Amino acid sequence: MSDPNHDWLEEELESLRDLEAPPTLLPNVMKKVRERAGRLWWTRLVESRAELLRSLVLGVSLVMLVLMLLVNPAQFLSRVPGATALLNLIPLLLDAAKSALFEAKVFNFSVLGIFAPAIILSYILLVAIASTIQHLANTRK
Amino acid sequence: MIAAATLSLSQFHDRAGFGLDREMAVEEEFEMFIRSYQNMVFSVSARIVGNLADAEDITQEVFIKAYDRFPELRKSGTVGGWLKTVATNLSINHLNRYRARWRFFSEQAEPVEIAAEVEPESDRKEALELAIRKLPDAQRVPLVLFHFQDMSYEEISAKLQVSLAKVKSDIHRGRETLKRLLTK
Repeated sequence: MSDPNHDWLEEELESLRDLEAPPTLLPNVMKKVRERAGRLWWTRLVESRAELLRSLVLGVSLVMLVLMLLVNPAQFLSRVPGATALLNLIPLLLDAAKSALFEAKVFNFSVLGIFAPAIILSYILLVAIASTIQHLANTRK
Repeated sequence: MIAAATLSLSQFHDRAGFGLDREMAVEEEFEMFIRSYQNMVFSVSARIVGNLADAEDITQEVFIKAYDRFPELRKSGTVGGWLKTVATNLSINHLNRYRARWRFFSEQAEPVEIAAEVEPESDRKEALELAIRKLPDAQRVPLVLFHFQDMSYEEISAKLQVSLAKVKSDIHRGRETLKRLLTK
């Protein structure tokens, strides 16, 4: 018994052959392959295992963070000559930055109140422009 | 003996072990490999993304990935399947990446209906190829996976992370749109 859903369209879809690849494909791939072959082994490894390396870097960073919390490297740094002055300077700089952001006023607005929306708006604008360009480029292809 | 002294190209390269000759032999072999599979990989990508320029970029990416694994692939008996899977995944990733970015600003949930008609082509098969490319993504991708990759509804549903009912209705709608376009 024949399949009632097997209509003329199905037959035509089944009869379709592979499309012809563009003639530029092979030279382009071979060019890239030769470029890759000429690179150092570790750059090829980084490219081919980018996802794995990203995860590895994230993992190592987390381990380092936990180690820093447990060991407190500042205690070792304080033994280095001159390091105490540097350690004292860092909180001062942070305090100055905090005061500038929260307490300094420009036209009765805090600096943070002006900078934060400006940064957010410019980020949204950049993403919108990039998406529009990509959309236009894609519809032209 | 002559027979013993005669070596095949691959044996010669294996025995000589000279870097440059060996690299050239691998390159030649890889070129042959591309020639054998380029149409298949390009077709998979072109039918999924519906855009020939993007399909060419994706095909290049597939072969570059294949080059990194060429020592294993040349010995494998399932190289065609591997290439198809990689081409399918890269094509779907390409559509998802593009769609996710653009949807945020402009795209509505309902895909745009086909406005353009299929141009009168001398070849009916060419007209069908063109009609497939003009289908909205939501209809084209499951239809291509079902008809050209022999995937089941369940497999398509899992791959595209949509419900089984949606896969069935999208494939049905895709077929109807194709029929409409081809009988105009």
